[in-house]
Amino acid sequence: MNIFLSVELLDSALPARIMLLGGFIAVFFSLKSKDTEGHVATFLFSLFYLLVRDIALSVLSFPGLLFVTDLVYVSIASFVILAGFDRRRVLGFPLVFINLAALAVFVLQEWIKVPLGIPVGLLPLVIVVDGIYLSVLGFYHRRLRDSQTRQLLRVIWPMIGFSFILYGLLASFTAYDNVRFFSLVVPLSYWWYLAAGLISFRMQDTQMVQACSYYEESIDSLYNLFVATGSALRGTFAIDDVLKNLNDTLIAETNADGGLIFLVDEFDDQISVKAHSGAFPPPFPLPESLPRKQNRIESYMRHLHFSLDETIFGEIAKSGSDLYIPDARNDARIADNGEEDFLYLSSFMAVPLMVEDRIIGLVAVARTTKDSFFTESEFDRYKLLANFGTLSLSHFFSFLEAKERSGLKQSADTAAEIQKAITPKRIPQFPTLQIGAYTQPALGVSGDYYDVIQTRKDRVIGVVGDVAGKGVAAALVMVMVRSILHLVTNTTRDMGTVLDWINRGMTGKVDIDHYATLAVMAIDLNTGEVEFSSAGHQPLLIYRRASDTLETVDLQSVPIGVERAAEYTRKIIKLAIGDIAVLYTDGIVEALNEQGKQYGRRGLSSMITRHKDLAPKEIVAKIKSDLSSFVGSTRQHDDQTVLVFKMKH
Amino acid sequence: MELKIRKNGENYIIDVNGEMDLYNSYKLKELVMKMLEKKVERFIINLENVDYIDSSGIGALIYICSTIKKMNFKLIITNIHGSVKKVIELTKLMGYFPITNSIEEAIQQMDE
Amino acid sequence: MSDTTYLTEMKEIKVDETNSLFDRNGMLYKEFSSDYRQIRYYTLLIVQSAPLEIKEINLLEQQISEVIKNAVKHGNQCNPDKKVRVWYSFDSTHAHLIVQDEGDGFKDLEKWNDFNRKRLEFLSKHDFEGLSDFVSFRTQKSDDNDGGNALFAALEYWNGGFVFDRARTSVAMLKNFPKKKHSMN
Repeated sequence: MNIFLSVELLDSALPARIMLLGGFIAVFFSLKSKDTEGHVATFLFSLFYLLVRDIALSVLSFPGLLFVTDLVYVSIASFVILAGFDRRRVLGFPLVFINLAALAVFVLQEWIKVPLGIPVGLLPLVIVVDGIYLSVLGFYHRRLRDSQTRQLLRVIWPMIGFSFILYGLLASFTAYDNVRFFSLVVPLSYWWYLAAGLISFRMQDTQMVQACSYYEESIDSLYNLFVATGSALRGTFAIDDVLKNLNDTLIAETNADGGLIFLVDEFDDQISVKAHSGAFPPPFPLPESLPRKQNRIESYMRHLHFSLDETIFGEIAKSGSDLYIPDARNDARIADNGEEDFLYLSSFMAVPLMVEDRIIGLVAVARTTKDSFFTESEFDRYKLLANFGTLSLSHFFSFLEAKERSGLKQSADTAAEIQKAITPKRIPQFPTLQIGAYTQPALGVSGDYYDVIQTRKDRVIGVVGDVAGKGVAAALVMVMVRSILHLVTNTTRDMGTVLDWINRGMTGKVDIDHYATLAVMAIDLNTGEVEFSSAGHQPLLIYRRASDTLETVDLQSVPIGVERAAEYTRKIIKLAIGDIAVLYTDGIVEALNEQGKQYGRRGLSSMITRHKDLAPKEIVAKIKSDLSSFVGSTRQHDDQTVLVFKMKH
Repeated sequence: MELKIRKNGENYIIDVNGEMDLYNSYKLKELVMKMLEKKVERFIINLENVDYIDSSGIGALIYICSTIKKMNFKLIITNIHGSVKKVIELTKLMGYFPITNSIEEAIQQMDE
Repeated sequence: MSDTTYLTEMKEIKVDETNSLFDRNGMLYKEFSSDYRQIRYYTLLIVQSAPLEIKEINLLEQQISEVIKNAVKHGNQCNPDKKVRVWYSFDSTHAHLIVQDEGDGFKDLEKWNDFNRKRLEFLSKHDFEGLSDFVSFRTQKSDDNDGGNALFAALEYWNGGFVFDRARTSVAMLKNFPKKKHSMN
């Protein structure tokens, strides 16, 4: 028996075999780019071995080389396959051992001519044993499908086993001696590579299709989400509606039984439930005192709030990490609150809502049916939707902020407009009385109010007021004061009563900060008689020309708006020609310079005394510039107003 | 500050509107005393529309709470928020006062 | 949630005349007559120059009104001839206040500290029955309108210190505000 055929036979089919191998190599090369597990590389390695072996056989005419290289080939191929079942390839060792034994026998017997007495024709049966070994392993592991390699091997192990068994049998039977054996069987023993390649292509294709349909579903979900949140925006513009729609969508898209949305409260550093839907059993331990009744638990859940590290929800809001607990019953992080079925929590997911690194809240969903668990892909879907939902929310908040800013600006503008409307455009002057005025707001809209009202041909009323607070509310107070004043000043009643009426008009009627100090002077243009009354305001300053001295007139009283029954007195003063009366607000005498010293009544008084001969308009201008140089660059905190009256001939 | 009373079954809900400060907190005290005289036994004080409370207001709540407790009647304070909640936390009275987050929960708690 | 070192420091009101909180440099100043009816008005005048962020809606105003009330009512006995002096300074990270009255001083300060200690003990044991005797600090001078709880809150709120001078007619306090981390409506 001659196992060692002449090389010429091998030669004749060589080009065909090389092209075949080349084709398979090409197939596996194109699979290589998508290969994440490295099994393609091992396939390629074995193919290259075969290529080299076939070329070598056509050049070398070593007897028995085919059989020897076949044994090696079977070993390599087996390793390729076994790698799929067993990372460490330990399973391959018995097989390699058998092959090596056969190889050793063959080499010893045929090449080294050691007489071992083993019929050479039986040696190729080792390949049959290999084939059976691989088949048994393949059958044993046929349920493994957790990696791509294993999925592939699941399908092709019968082909490989069959190939090797048949090949081994034929090799043994024909003793490698048949032309057809070489032209047909030998290349056919490579065909399982083709099957492996094609099946790998098909597997990759399926993967692609699955990914596509996942993305399609995701896009559908996102679309639903945007429609749902958008509809709330078109309606009431209430944050509660937006959150309710978002919550409902998240529940629907994850097939959950209940869902919650928490938002972080900026002021309290707490999170509180802002949307609640469906059945959501508490995942954290319930307080002992809470009765285990369904309606109690439900209202409790609906009004939850925690600080930022209390319970599982607080932790998520603080740390910003997702939480996926598919099997809640068997997870230590989920509390067991009792066996009632409305407390049964089977699966739980929670995701924080983040806008640019800032955690603004969190969303959570729950399943309450036995053995119903959220899958990984549902968790991925949930995260995706939560992120897009947060974006939507943050747009909504930005819009609200912009609206408020424009509202605030509008309100500041409104306040300024109101103020402009009630500030006297022009200070009237009279033959017997000259008047000058100056007002300077500290920040934006002023809290000071002043007015000069001619009530009768011979009567003028001067008013200065300091309203506590800013903005539209303060402006409204001014308007109310002014309205009442204009209404009542025509009365014959005294100025104390006038303040009393203003006070009653304001106190207890309005729900805003309604305090104001006021000082009023009613001047008789003919006689120079002044009726002065004050509600908590700075004392009246009077310069007497005759004695060249300054007097202060101070009436102890409460500001407007403090007490309904407050009493206001009045004082009567007579102004002579050349006398100057000055009303002013806190901001003038309390103005600070860089050293922290106050301008004081002294500063004001000295200005009046120094410029006693000037007209009020000029006096006021002097006060303004003196004050300005006194304070320098120091920022003022209070509005400044001065009203100066001077009796003339 | 305005006080309004409404009934829900046997529960009397006092809605407080405005600020509870040193000038008007006595009004709430007086109202509750009057209601006790009229044999009311279940009080829910709703502070939803109260956004300011000072020590007098807290004092009034303490007085009301201890009086009702002594008479073995029931009191629940609800809907505290913002600075009112902060003040109660600062005085560490969150556990001392019977508080719920909503009137709904207060009514449920009353019934048990 | 609160820093435990603060907790041990702030459990009592200290008398510390030399404390840096009494340094009036750079502070604004206002004085008022001791008119009980105007306590909230005076408070408003002071607080209106504080930046919005530290007002915490109206918590700052409320805490300041308590100190002024104490000065007007307990310090100066609501006597309009006696003044209340206030030094104040605000910015986005702190609120600093010194309030001085013309009275005889907070004589019951030690009694108050003892009372507060007992109160905190009951609180730590969650003994609300025992606590009920310690929720309101009353002296012979207290009336129905005194809640008796303002200083409990004040010790918690003024986290930078709350100290009296030796005469116990002046109290200085500081609140430090952290930088904002979470913010959304």
